[in-house]
Amino acid sequence: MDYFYDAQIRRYLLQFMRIFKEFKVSEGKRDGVTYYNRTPVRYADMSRMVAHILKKGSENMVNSTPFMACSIQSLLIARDRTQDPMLVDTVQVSEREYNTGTASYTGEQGNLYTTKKIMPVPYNLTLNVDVWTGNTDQKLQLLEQVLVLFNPSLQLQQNSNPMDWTQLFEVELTDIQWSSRSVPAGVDETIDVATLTFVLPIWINPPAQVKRQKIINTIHANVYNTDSINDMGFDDDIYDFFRTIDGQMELTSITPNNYWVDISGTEAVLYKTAPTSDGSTYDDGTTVKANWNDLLEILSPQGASGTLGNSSVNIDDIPLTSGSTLQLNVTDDLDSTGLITGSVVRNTIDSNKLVFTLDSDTLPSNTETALTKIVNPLQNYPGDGTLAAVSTGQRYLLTNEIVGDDWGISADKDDIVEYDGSKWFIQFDASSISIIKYVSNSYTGKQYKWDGKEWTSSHEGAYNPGFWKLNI
Amino acid sequence: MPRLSLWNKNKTNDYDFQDKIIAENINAGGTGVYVHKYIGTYTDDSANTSVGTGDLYIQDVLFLENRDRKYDTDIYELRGTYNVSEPEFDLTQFGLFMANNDLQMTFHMNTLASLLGRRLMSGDVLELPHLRDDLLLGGGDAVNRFFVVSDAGRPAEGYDARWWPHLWKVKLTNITDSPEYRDILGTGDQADDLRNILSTYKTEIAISDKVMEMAAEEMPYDSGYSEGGHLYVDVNSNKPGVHFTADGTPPNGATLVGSGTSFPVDASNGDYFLRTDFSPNRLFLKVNAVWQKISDDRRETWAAANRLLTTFINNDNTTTNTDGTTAPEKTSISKAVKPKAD
Repeated sequence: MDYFYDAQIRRYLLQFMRIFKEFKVSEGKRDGVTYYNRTPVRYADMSRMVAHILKKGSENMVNSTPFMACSIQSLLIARDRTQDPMLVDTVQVSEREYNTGTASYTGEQGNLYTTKKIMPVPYNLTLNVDVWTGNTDQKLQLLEQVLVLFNPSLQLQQNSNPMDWTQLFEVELTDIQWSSRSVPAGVDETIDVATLTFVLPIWINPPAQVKRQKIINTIHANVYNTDSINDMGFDDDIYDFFRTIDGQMELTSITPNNYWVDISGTEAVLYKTAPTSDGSTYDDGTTVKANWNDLLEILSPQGASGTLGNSSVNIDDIPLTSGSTLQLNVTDDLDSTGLITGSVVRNTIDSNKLVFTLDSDTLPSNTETALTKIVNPLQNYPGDGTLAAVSTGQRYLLTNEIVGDDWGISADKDDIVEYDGSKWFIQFDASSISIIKYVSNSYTGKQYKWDGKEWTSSHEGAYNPGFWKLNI
Repeated sequence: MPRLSLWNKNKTNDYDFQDKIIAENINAGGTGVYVHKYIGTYTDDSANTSVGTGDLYIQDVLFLENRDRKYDTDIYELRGTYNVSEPEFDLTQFGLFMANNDLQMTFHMNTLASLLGRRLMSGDVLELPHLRDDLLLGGGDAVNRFFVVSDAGRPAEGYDARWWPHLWKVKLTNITDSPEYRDILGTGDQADDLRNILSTYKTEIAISDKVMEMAAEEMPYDSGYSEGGHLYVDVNSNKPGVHFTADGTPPNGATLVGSGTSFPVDASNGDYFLRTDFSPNRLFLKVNAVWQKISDDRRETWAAANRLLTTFINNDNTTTNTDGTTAPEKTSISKAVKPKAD
């Protein structure tokens, strides 16, 4: 096994000893003035070397009372608190973006991390606190201050990291040995030691796994969508019930950054703000482009310091290969698997953009015969010098209605007209079709979608968080 | 012829002769001893727990101990003898003890009585200058060794042939830096107090403080605080793994529009406001017509008690009575609102 050590028992001890840090004892009044003394506390089991240093190598030095010493009495395995040893808890967090120039965090999203924690091992740590006092009055002063704190226990925190699921622990006073002295004292007058025994149910954690997130745009979390576990057949008598459930889960997708992507031609632009429902304006009135490197560098090799911002990271090393693809979900169904795919490569000029090359095989199947062209009939007509002379099979998508006699028919905007060898006729009457249709434009190679209201590119446009995926 | 007998109920010239020889023997061969004479206790008897007067004064009749001892500012020099033994340190939690800690030291009884006015008693402190150590580790002032008399009595070897005792043997143990010897060691407030030179107290406090400093590095505030200010918060999400700051500051470095005991009337949607009349202070976000709770400022001073109990123990408030007198709020329950004398 490789080495690891997180000083966990040491941290428990430190926080435990902190309980006893500020107790004072009154030394009584001398000439009307009451003196108070702080009571030092330290670990009990010191080495002889340190003991000699404390005494300055001389038996003449005088030990001080009162004084408290903490020691470990035992560390027992807590089988009653043992839980599923194979449980791995996964938490995704993101840092705020760190500006190395100003050495401060910005308000933007920075690195994304996935932290996996495996079930820690429970133990019961029993600690003794020996209270050394020079007289009974001192002893009662100290114990009265200590004893009111444990009713019956005190909750402490061993570190402030929100990722640590064992940061809180309880300290319970379980036993008190009143005195180390016999009563009556006998021939020797020894210093009195009262021993308080505490039990701390603690957890010892194996190391966690912290990874910068590899799923770039989407996190899939399996959750049960139910109001009551009884709906799932929960029974107290079933051992490890939740493991017995098969994959009847609901898939929830989230995009950590809430970045969205806009596809325009061969450009895939990353944005930070999400568009509003009509897509015309944005939450804060603007659009803010995001840097693809924010996502791509997550998989980049780290510099010596392990930081992303390290200058030794070469932008060329960021793993965007010829096999990298961007997938687009053109449906309203987040779980749809019919994604439109295109290859992506780095845009060497603008880091907000990737060069997107559509794989036309992944487009939805056309429902209509391919178009010859898209035309504005108010400006052009067959044989006018811009459009070719009529020939059988020509199909035009109209961006305006046909007015006049150049076409020999009347048709509306968004209709598709076709020439049958003798005349033009309306092959696609937009006013009567309310279902989704797809058609390709032979002239540009682009595919268009009819949604019952208008023609739009079948894949160009804005993709909300969760509706796009980057595969490295 | 009278019966031959060494015993005489009166101390005769023989006694005086032998006593002088014994005294001279100790004075000539003994080591110098400085005596810090116990002369009573500081008599703050507001608790009415003492009996007796003078040397017979007992400060606390319940626990039967004299704590706040008073020592004569004059130091008496005596001669005493004892067998020097090998030092052997015994390491305990308390620190290093001498395994053969106890010394049995012998004095001439009448010399004690003539110099001190009484024999050495339990509680007297003896200083042995011949054990002065001027080579302390780390340097510093040389220190004598201090003992306290724990027991005293007439030793078997101190009787002459005529059955009269001449010697006084005391059992000595190391003193501790405790209130009993504050007159000798000082409180440590003054730089030249013996306590600052002789006691391990300052080092023990330094060690204790350093341990607390290390603990505070791990957990700078009271339980409940998490260091999450550097994490990005999706404020519109309740998804797991999202951590709000625990320091009363808005998430993601946003700025507060203010803080106070009431919300501002001209706040806009998305404004953060810290209410300082909540304990702990509470951060709110304006969402339409509602101020939504975001987080609490958990940066409370670390205390070895729950928050409620802390308000009772760490309470320096005073209350003002109708007659203008003030009294501390923190009052022992046995003394709360006691009747005043008519």
